[in-house]
Amino acid sequence: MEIYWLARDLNGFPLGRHQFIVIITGNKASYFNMPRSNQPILSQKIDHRYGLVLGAHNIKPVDQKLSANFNRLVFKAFEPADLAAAKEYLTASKPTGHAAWENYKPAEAKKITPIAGITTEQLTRQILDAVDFYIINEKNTNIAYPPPWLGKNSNSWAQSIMNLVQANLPQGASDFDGADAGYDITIPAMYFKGICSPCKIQNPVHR
Amino acid sequence: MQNTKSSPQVVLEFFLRAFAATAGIYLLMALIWLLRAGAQGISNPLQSDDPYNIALFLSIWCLIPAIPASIVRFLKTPRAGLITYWIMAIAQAALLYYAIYRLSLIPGNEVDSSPGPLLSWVTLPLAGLYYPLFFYGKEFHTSRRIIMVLGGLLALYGHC
Repeated sequence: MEIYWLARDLNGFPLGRHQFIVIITGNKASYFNMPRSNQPILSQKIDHRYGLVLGAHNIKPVDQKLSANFNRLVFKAFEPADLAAAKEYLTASKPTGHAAWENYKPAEAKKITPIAGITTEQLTRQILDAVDFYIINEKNTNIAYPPPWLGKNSNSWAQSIMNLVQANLPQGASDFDGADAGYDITIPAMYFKGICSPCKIQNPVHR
Repeated sequence: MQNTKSSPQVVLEFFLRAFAATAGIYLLMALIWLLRAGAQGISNPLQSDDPYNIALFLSIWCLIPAIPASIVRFLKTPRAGLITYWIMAIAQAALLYYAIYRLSLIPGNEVDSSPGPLLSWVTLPLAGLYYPLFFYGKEFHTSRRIIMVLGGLLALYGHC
């Protein structure tokens, strides 16, 4: 298994970077249990291997199953732009759907290793458990997705998980090249460590 | 009143003012970043490349209406320059708003997650701040020199 923390350009806009997590799981497709949220994830082909692509995204009220009156930071596996960027990075292929005018920069990745005494499989499970709890907790106490730099976003989500699990992270690991807003903001750990009731979140003013 | 300065003098003055205004934006951005870090408990906020990237972008963005305004100011009057500045700034904001709208129609776009909408809201207030930063006072005024030195050092630290 291999774990990567990636940052890619936002889709369809020349400014801003989005962070997400890729886990290479093996040479064949397999299900990964998410027992609390009951959302098992089937790995998909990324390069010549299979893996998981995990990210949080800005979801508008019209696209939410249980609609809040604001955009929410919702977990999404294999979001098409995340998957495309993961494939581009891991197969060293040229980007698709990006024009020069979009100021396109290739995806940047950091390979994540576990701390001593922990295996990559255990670290993967920790990440999946954190995602699993997040799905439940965010559904119960929504997290708003405000404009960049004014609150928590997908970059905050990725760095909050990475800082919570037993990963071996160098200083400043969450700061990728480019304008990756919110990489320095942490979502409360209670969202990832268990079912929090009540969950506490400070949502900023939002549209 | 017709401008009596020669063209090289005007060009030099333009670059000095542009440099000072850019330095001012870097200082302003650093201040915002420090306040934001204080409010959200973020440590070492100025080690990130984000405030410097934003400051660089905003410096170029804000300079756009100042270029034609400077030319008109030189050829005609300061008042005509001011009017040109605001026409350009409003046109810039309107074009950005339209571009964001068009981009938001593309399937799978992430415009909503980008700084674009925020930029469209702050373009005119920023233009209001930038005008005095760029045009007010003598180009070699002490306060402008201090801003140039401090902002220049900050930009060097951020980008190098």
